[in-house]
Amino acid sequence: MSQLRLGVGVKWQAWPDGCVVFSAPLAQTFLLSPDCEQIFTAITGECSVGELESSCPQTAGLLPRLIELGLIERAA
Amino acid sequence: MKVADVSPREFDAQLAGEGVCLDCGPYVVRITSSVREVATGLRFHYADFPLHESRGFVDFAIVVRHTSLLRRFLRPQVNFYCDGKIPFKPVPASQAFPMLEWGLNWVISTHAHDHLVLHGAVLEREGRALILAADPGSGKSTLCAGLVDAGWRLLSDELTLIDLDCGRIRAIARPVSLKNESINVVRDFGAHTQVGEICVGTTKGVVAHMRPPLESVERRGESADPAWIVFPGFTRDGRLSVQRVGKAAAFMELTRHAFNYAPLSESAFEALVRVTDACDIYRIAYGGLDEVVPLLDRMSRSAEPIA
Repeated sequence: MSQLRLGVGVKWQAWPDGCVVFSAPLAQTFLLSPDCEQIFTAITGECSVGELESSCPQTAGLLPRLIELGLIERAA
Repeated sequence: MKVADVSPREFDAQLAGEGVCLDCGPYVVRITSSVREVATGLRFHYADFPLHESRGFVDFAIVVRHTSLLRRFLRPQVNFYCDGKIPFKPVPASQAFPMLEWGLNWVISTHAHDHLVLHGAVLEREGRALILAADPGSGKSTLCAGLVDAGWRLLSDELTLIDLDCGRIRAIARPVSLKNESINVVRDFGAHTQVGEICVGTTKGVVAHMRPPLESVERRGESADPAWIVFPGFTRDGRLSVQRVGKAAAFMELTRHAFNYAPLSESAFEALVRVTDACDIYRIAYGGLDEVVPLLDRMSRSAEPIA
Protein backbone atom coordinates (compact mmCIF):
# COMPACT_ATOMS: atom_id res chain seq x y z
CA MET A 1 0.00 0.00 0.00
CA SER A 2 2.94 2.35 0.53
CA GLN A 3 4.01 2.13 -3.15
CA LEU A 4 1.70 4.79 -4.50
CA ARG A 5 2.30 7.79 -6.70
CA LEU A 6 0.36 10.58 -8.36
CA GLY A 7 -1.33 9.48 -11.59
CA VAL A 8 0.20 10.56 -14.89
CA GLY A 9 -1.05 14.03 -15.89
CA VAL A 10 -2.65 14.64 -12.51
CA LYS A 11 -2.35 17.96 -10.64
CA TRP A 12 -3.96 18.89 -7.38
CA GLN A 13 -4.56 21.85 -5.12
CA ALA A 14 -6.13 21.80 -1.69
CA TRP A 15 -8.00 24.57 0.05
CA PRO A 16 -9.96 24.45 3.32
CA ASP A 17 -13.27 23.85 1.53
CA GLY A 18 -12.04 21.15 -0.83
CA CYS A 19 -9.37 19.65 -2.98
CA VAL A 20 -9.44 20.22 -6.74
CA VAL A 21 -7.77 17.56 -8.83
CA PHE A 22 -7.13 17.77 -12.56
CA SER A 23 -6.59 14.70 -14.69
CA ALA A 24 -5.19 15.35 -18.17
CA PRO A 25 -5.94 11.80 -19.42
CA LEU A 26 -9.57 12.12 -18.34
CA ALA A 27 -9.71 15.82 -19.35
CA GLN A 28 -11.66 16.35 -16.16
CA THR A 29 -11.44 18.32 -12.93
CA PHE A 30 -12.77 16.84 -9.71
CA LEU A 31 -13.84 18.59 -6.55
CA LEU A 32 -12.99 16.24 -3.71
CA SER A 33 -13.35 16.36 0.04
CA PRO A 34 -10.73 18.42 1.91
CA ASP A 35 -9.54 15.14 3.50
CA CYS A 36 -7.98 14.16 0.20
CA GLU A 37 -5.19 16.64 0.85
CA GLN A 38 -3.79 14.21 3.43
CA ILE A 39 -3.69 11.45 0.85
CA PHE A 40 -1.97 13.56 -1.80
CA THR A 41 0.47 14.86 0.79
CA ALA A 42 1.19 11.32 1.92
CA ILE A 43 1.96 10.01 -1.55
CA THR A 44 4.20 12.95 -2.37
CA GLY A 45 6.27 12.00 0.64
CA GLU A 46 5.59 14.52 3.35
CA CYS A 47 4.01 11.71 5.35
CA SER A 48 3.85 8.06 4.48
CA VAL A 49 0.73 6.20 3.44
CA GLY A 50 1.36 3.93 6.43
CA GLU A 51 1.26 6.89 8.78
CA LEU A 52 -1.92 8.09 7.11
CA GLU A 53 -3.56 4.68 7.49
CA SER A 54 -2.76 4.50 11.16
CA SER A 55 -3.61 8.09 12.05
CA CYS A 56 -6.57 8.70 9.71
CA PRO A 57 -8.07 5.37 8.65
CA GLN A 58 -11.24 7.05 7.40
CA THR A 59 -9.30 9.35 5.08
CA ALA A 60 -7.18 6.45 3.86
CA GLY A 61 -10.45 4.73 2.99
CA LEU A 62 -10.81 7.19 0.11
CA LEU A 63 -7.74 5.73 -1.58
CA PRO A 64 -9.43 2.93 -3.53
CA ARG A 65 -11.74 5.39 -5.29
CA LEU A 66 -8.83 7.68 -6.18
CA ILE A 67 -6.93 4.69 -7.57
CA GLU A 68 -10.00 3.61 -9.53
CA LEU A 69 -10.19 7.06 -11.13
CA GLY A 70 -6.48 6.95 -11.98
CA LEU A 71 -5.75 9.98 -9.86
CA ILE A 72 -3.38 7.85 -7.84
CA GLU A 73 -1.48 4.86 -9.23
CA ARG A 74 0.20 1.88 -7.71
CA ALA A 75 3.90 1.98 -8.48
CA ALA A 76 5.13 -1.07 -10.42
CA MET B 1 -1.98 58.03 -34.58
CA LYS B 2 -5.40 57.52 -32.96
CA VAL B 3 -8.76 56.97 -34.63
CA ALA B 4 -9.86 60.44 -33.51
CA ASP B 5 -6.86 62.00 -35.26
CA VAL B 6 -8.20 60.94 -38.65
CA SER B 7 -11.05 62.85 -40.30
CA PRO B 8 -14.34 60.92 -40.48
CA ARG B 9 -14.17 60.92 -44.26
CA GLU B 10 -10.62 59.60 -44.32
CA PHE B 11 -11.39 57.00 -41.64
CA ASP B 12 -14.49 55.71 -43.45
CA ALA B 13 -12.56 55.47 -46.73
CA GLN B 14 -9.76 53.48 -45.10
CA LEU B 15 -12.29 51.25 -43.31
CA ALA B 16 -14.06 50.50 -46.59
CA GLY B 17 -10.78 50.05 -48.48
CA GLU B 18 -7.79 48.28 -46.98
CA GLY B 19 -9.34 48.27 -43.50
CA VAL B 20 -8.33 49.83 -40.19
CA CYS B 21 -6.05 48.03 -37.74
CA LEU B 22 -6.96 48.65 -34.11
CA ASP B 23 -4.54 47.98 -31.28
CA CYS B 24 -6.78 46.45 -28.62
CA GLY B 25 -3.99 45.52 -26.22
CA PRO B 26 -2.84 41.93 -26.61
CA TYR B 27 -4.35 41.72 -30.09
CA VAL B 28 -4.38 43.79 -33.25
CA VAL B 29 -7.59 43.48 -35.23
CA ARG B 30 -8.08 44.59 -38.83
CA ILE B 31 -11.65 45.60 -39.56
CA THR B 32 -12.90 46.20 -43.09
CA SER B 33 -16.39 47.48 -43.74
CA SER B 34 -18.37 49.85 -45.87
CA VAL B 35 -21.39 49.61 -43.55
CA ARG B 36 -22.27 53.05 -42.18
CA GLU B 37 -23.26 51.78 -38.71
CA VAL B 38 -19.87 50.09 -38.29
CA ALA B 39 -17.98 53.25 -39.25
CA THR B 40 -20.09 55.40 -36.91
CA GLY B 41 -19.70 52.97 -34.03
CA LEU B 42 -15.95 52.60 -34.47
CA ARG B 43 -15.38 56.35 -34.71
CA PHE B 44 -17.28 56.92 -31.45
CA HIS B 45 -16.25 53.94 -29.32
CA TYR B 46 -12.70 53.46 -30.55
CA ALA B 47 -11.80 57.17 -30.88
CA ASP B 48 -8.90 56.87 -28.43
CA PHE B 49 -7.46 53.64 -29.85
CA PRO B 50 -4.20 53.72 -31.78
CA LEU B 51 -4.30 52.77 -35.44
CA HIS B 52 -1.70 50.33 -36.68
CA GLU B 53 -0.12 50.18 -40.11
CA SER B 54 -2.78 48.44 -42.18
CA ARG B 55 -0.26 46.28 -44.03
CA GLY B 56 1.32 45.07 -40.80
CA PHE B 57 0.67 41.81 -38.93
CA VAL B 58 -2.79 41.42 -37.46
CA ASP B 59 -4.12 38.74 -35.12
CA PHE B 60 -7.63 38.75 -36.53
CA ALA B 61 -9.02 39.97 -39.85
CA ILE B 62 -12.69 40.93 -39.59
CA VAL B 63 -15.00 42.04 -42.39
CA VAL B 64 -18.58 43.28 -41.97
CA ARG B 65 -20.39 43.67 -45.26
CA HIS B 66 -23.88 43.70 -46.75
CA THR B 67 -25.18 40.28 -47.66
CA SER B 68 -25.93 41.34 -51.25
CA LEU B 69 -26.26 44.43 -53.40
CA LEU B 70 -30.04 44.15 -53.21
CA ARG B 71 -29.91 43.82 -49.41
CA ARG B 72 -27.93 47.03 -49.24
CA PHE B 73 -31.15 48.89 -50.05
CA LEU B 74 -34.06 46.56 -49.29
CA ARG B 75 -34.22 45.64 -45.59
CA PRO B 76 -30.42 45.74 -45.47
CA GLN B 77 -28.59 42.91 -43.76
CA VAL B 78 -24.95 42.38 -42.93
CA ASN B 79 -22.65 39.41 -42.41
CA PHE B 80 -19.67 39.11 -40.08
CA TYR B 81 -16.59 37.43 -41.54
CA CYS B 82 -13.59 36.24 -39.56
CA ASP B 83 -10.60 35.21 -41.66
CA GLY B 84 -12.98 34.74 -44.58
CA LYS B 85 -15.52 32.55 -42.77
CA ILE B 86 -19.07 33.47 -41.69
CA PRO B 87 -19.69 32.13 -38.18
CA PHE B 88 -23.12 33.71 -37.61
CA LYS B 89 -26.40 34.30 -39.36
CA PRO B 90 -26.80 37.77 -40.92
CA VAL B 91 -28.43 40.57 -38.92
CA PRO B 92 -30.18 43.81 -39.94
CA ALA B 93 -27.66 46.50 -40.85
CA SER B 94 -28.89 48.64 -37.94
CA GLN B 95 -27.36 45.98 -35.64
CA ALA B 96 -24.01 45.94 -37.40
CA PHE B 97 -21.99 47.54 -34.59
CA PRO B 98 -23.31 45.26 -31.79
CA MET B 99 -22.69 42.33 -34.13
CA LEU B 100 -19.12 43.47 -34.64
CA GLU B 101 -18.58 43.70 -30.87
CA TRP B 102 -20.15 40.30 -30.14
CA GLY B 103 -18.28 38.83 -33.08
CA LEU B 104 -14.98 40.17 -31.75
CA ASN B 105 -15.72 38.63 -28.35
CA TRP B 106 -16.41 35.32 -30.05
CA VAL B 107 -13.27 35.52 -32.17
CA ILE B 108 -11.05 36.22 -29.17
CA SER B 109 -12.70 33.70 -26.85
CA THR B 110 -12.45 30.91 -29.40
CA HIS B 111 -8.96 31.65 -30.78
CA ALA B 112 -6.92 33.32 -28.04
CA HIS B 113 -5.37 30.20 -26.56
CA ASP B 114 -2.27 32.07 -25.47
CA HIS B 115 -4.43 33.09 -22.48
CA LEU B 116 -6.93 31.35 -20.28
CA VAL B 117 -10.10 33.24 -21.16
CA LEU B 118 -12.96 33.55 -18.67
CA HIS B 119 -16.37 35.03 -19.32
CA GLY B 120 -16.05 37.91 -16.92
CA ALA B 121 -15.43 41.61 -16.55
CA VAL B 122 -12.17 42.83 -15.03
CA LEU B 123 -11.38 46.14 -13.40
CA GLU B 124 -8.27 47.45 -11.73
CA ARG B 125 -7.35 49.71 -8.87
CA GLU B 126 -3.76 50.32 -7.76
CA GLY B 127 -2.48 47.37 -9.73
CA ARG B 128 -4.99 44.90 -8.26
CA ALA B 129 -7.64 43.29 -10.41
CA LEU B 130 -11.27 42.57 -9.57
CA ILE B 131 -12.83 39.81 -11.67
CA LEU B 132 -16.64 39.81 -12.05
CA ALA B 133 -17.54 36.32 -13.22
CA ALA B 134 -21.17 35.63 -13.97
CA ASP B 135 -23.74 34.17 -16.29
CA PRO B 136 -25.58 36.47 -18.69
CA GLY B 137 -28.33 38.48 -16.99
CA SER B 138 -26.52 38.75 -13.67
CA GLY B 139 -25.84 42.48 -14.01
CA LYS B 140 -22.12 42.02 -14.63
CA SER B 141 -21.81 44.68 -17.31
CA THR B 142 -24.01 47.12 -15.40
CA LEU B 143 -21.82 46.73 -12.34
CA CYS B 144 -18.70 46.97 -14.48
CA ALA B 145 -19.90 50.25 -15.98
CA GLY B 146 -20.77 51.60 -12.52
CA LEU B 147 -17.29 50.77 -11.23
CA VAL B 148 -15.67 52.39 -14.26
CA ASP B 149 -17.63 55.54 -13.53
CA ALA B 150 -16.41 55.37 -9.91
CA GLY B 151 -12.82 55.46 -11.13
CA TRP B 152 -11.85 51.82 -11.55
CA ARG B 153 -9.77 51.14 -14.66
CA LEU B 154 -11.56 48.98 -17.22
CA LEU B 155 -9.55 45.96 -18.32
CA SER B 156 -12.48 44.26 -20.00
CA ASP B 157 -16.24 44.06 -19.82
CA GLU B 158 -16.51 40.56 -21.20
CA LEU B 159 -13.22 38.67 -21.41
CA THR B 160 -10.86 37.99 -18.54
CA LEU B 161 -7.52 37.19 -20.15
CA ILE B 162 -5.24 35.31 -17.75
CA ASP B 163 -1.58 35.10 -18.66
CA LEU B 164 -0.66 31.41 -18.58
CA ASP B 165 2.89 32.05 -17.40
CA CYS B 166 2.44 34.55 -14.60
CA GLY B 167 -1.29 34.53 -13.81
CA ARG B 168 -1.61 38.29 -14.30
CA ILE B 169 -4.69 39.71 -16.03
CA ARG B 170 -4.21 41.39 -19.40
CA ALA B 171 -6.24 44.41 -20.42
CA ILE B 172 -8.44 44.50 -23.51
CA ALA B 173 -10.47 47.62 -22.77
CA ARG B 174 -13.13 47.59 -25.46
CA PRO B 175 -16.66 49.07 -25.20
CA VAL B 176 -18.96 47.85 -22.41
CA SER B 177 -22.09 46.13 -23.70
CA LEU B 178 -25.30 47.28 -21.99
CA LYS B 179 -28.73 45.74 -22.41
CA ASN B 180 -32.30 46.84 -21.83
CA GLU B 181 -32.89 48.50 -18.40
CA SER B 182 -29.18 48.62 -17.68
CA ILE B 183 -28.70 51.34 -20.31
CA ASN B 184 -30.68 53.88 -18.30
CA VAL B 185 -29.35 52.58 -14.98
CA VAL B 186 -25.80 53.27 -16.14
CA ARG B 187 -26.70 56.61 -17.70
CA ASP B 188 -28.43 57.74 -14.49
CA PHE B 189 -25.59 56.54 -12.29
CA GLY B 190 -22.66 57.66 -14.34
CA ALA B 191 -21.58 61.26 -14.42
CA HIS B 192 -18.77 60.47 -16.85
CA THR B 193 -20.42 57.75 -18.87
CA GLN B 194 -20.56 58.05 -22.65
CA VAL B 195 -23.11 55.70 -24.17
CA GLY B 196 -23.36 55.32 -27.93
CA GLU B 197 -26.31 54.74 -30.23
CA ILE B 198 -29.18 52.59 -29.01
CA CYS B 199 -29.95 49.55 -31.10
CA VAL B 200 -33.37 47.87 -30.84
CA GLY B 201 -34.64 44.47 -31.87
CA THR B 202 -31.46 42.45 -31.35
CA THR B 203 -31.53 38.89 -30.03
CA LYS B 204 -30.57 40.41 -26.66
CA GLY B 205 -33.21 43.12 -26.79
CA VAL B 206 -32.27 46.80 -26.73
CA VAL B 207 -28.49 47.25 -26.61
CA ALA B 208 -26.03 50.10 -26.43
CA HIS B 209 -22.32 50.28 -25.73
CA MET B 210 -20.42 52.44 -23.29
CA ARG B 211 -17.26 53.99 -24.64
CA PRO B 212 -14.13 52.91 -22.73
CA PRO B 213 -12.55 55.83 -20.85
CA LEU B 214 -9.39 57.39 -22.25
CA GLU B 215 -7.24 56.24 -19.32
CA SER B 216 -8.32 52.61 -19.77
CA VAL B 217 -7.43 52.74 -23.45
CA GLU B 218 -4.09 54.46 -22.87
CA ARG B 219 -3.11 51.93 -20.18
CA ARG B 220 -4.27 48.86 -22.13
CA GLY B 221 -0.69 47.52 -22.07
CA GLU B 222 -0.68 47.34 -18.25
CA SER B 223 -1.70 44.05 -16.72
CA ALA B 224 -2.85 43.64 -13.11
CA ASP B 225 -2.50 41.12 -10.29
CA PRO B 226 -5.68 39.22 -9.49
CA ALA B 227 -6.89 40.25 -6.03
CA TRP B 228 -10.65 39.73 -5.85
CA ILE B 229 -13.24 37.56 -7.56
CA VAL B 230 -16.90 38.50 -7.26
CA PHE B 231 -19.83 36.44 -8.51
CA PRO B 232 -22.44 39.20 -8.83
CA GLY B 233 -26.16 38.66 -8.99
CA PHE B 234 -28.69 41.41 -9.58
CA THR B 235 -31.87 40.99 -7.54
CA ARG B 236 -35.02 43.01 -8.02
CA ASP B 237 -35.80 43.05 -4.30
CA GLY B 238 -32.82 45.32 -3.87
CA ARG B 239 -31.22 43.62 -0.89
CA LEU B 240 -27.46 43.82 -0.71
CA SER B 241 -25.85 40.63 0.60
CA VAL B 242 -22.27 39.45 0.66
CA GLN B 243 -21.06 35.92 1.21
CA ARG B 244 -17.51 34.66 1.26
CA VAL B 245 -16.97 31.77 -1.21
CA GLY B 246 -14.53 28.91 -0.57
CA LYS B 247 -11.67 28.71 -3.03
CA ALA B 248 -12.31 25.14 -4.14
CA ALA B 249 -15.96 25.88 -4.85
CA ALA B 250 -14.99 29.11 -6.62
CA PHE B 251 -12.41 27.28 -8.70
CA MET B 252 -15.03 24.85 -9.96
CA GLU B 253 -17.41 27.70 -10.74
CA LEU B 254 -14.69 29.54 -12.64
CA THR B 255 -13.98 26.48 -14.81
CA ARG B 256 -17.61 26.78 -15.93
CA HIS B 257 -16.98 30.40 -16.96
CA ALA B 258 -13.80 29.53 -18.88
CA PHE B 259 -13.98 29.43 -22.67
CA ASN B 260 -10.82 27.38 -23.20
CA TYR B 261 -10.14 25.49 -19.96
CA ALA B 262 -10.42 22.09 -21.65
CA PRO B 263 -8.10 22.70 -24.63
CA LEU B 264 -5.46 24.36 -22.46
CA SER B 265 -5.50 21.38 -20.09
CA GLU B 266 -2.81 21.45 -17.36
CA SER B 267 -1.69 25.00 -18.07
CA ALA B 268 -5.26 26.22 -17.56
CA PHE B 269 -5.53 24.33 -14.28
CA GLU B 270 -2.29 25.84 -13.03
CA ALA B 271 -3.20 29.38 -14.11
CA LEU B 272 -6.63 29.15 -12.53
CA VAL B 273 -5.19 27.76 -9.28
CA ARG B 274 -2.81 30.72 -9.17
CA VAL B 275 -5.63 33.22 -9.71
CA THR B 276 -8.01 31.56 -7.23
CA ASP B 277 -5.30 31.29 -4.60
CA ALA B 278 -4.43 34.98 -4.89
CA CYS B 279 -7.98 36.29 -4.52
CA ASP B 280 -10.55 37.06 -1.85
CA ILE B 281 -13.76 35.64 -3.28
CA TYR B 282 -17.34 36.77 -2.69
CA ARG B 283 -20.84 36.22 -3.95
CA ILE B 284 -22.69 39.53 -3.91
CA ALA B 285 -26.40 40.01 -4.51
CA TYR B 286 -27.36 43.60 -5.21
CA GLY B 287 -30.33 45.62 -6.29
CA GLY B 288 -28.70 48.90 -7.23
CA LEU B 289 -25.34 50.43 -8.04
CA ASP B 290 -25.68 52.97 -5.20
CA GLU B 291 -24.90 50.30 -2.60
CA VAL B 292 -22.65 47.84 -4.35
CA VAL B 293 -20.20 50.29 -5.93
CA PRO B 294 -19.29 51.92 -2.57
CA LEU B 295 -18.98 48.43 -1.05
CA LEU B 296 -16.46 47.37 -3.69
CA ASP B 297 -14.68 50.71 -3.31
CA ARG B 298 -14.27 49.98 0.41
CA MET B 299 -13.08 46.47 -0.39
CA SER B 300 -10.36 47.85 -2.65
CA ARG B 301 -9.10 50.24 0.01
CA SER B 302 -9.16 47.88 2.99
CA ALA B 303 -6.87 45.04 3.93
CA GLU B 304 -9.78 43.39 5.75
CA PRO B 305 -12.24 41.06 4.01
CA ILE B 306 -15.74 42.45 3.51
CA ALA B 307 -17.42 39.22 4.72
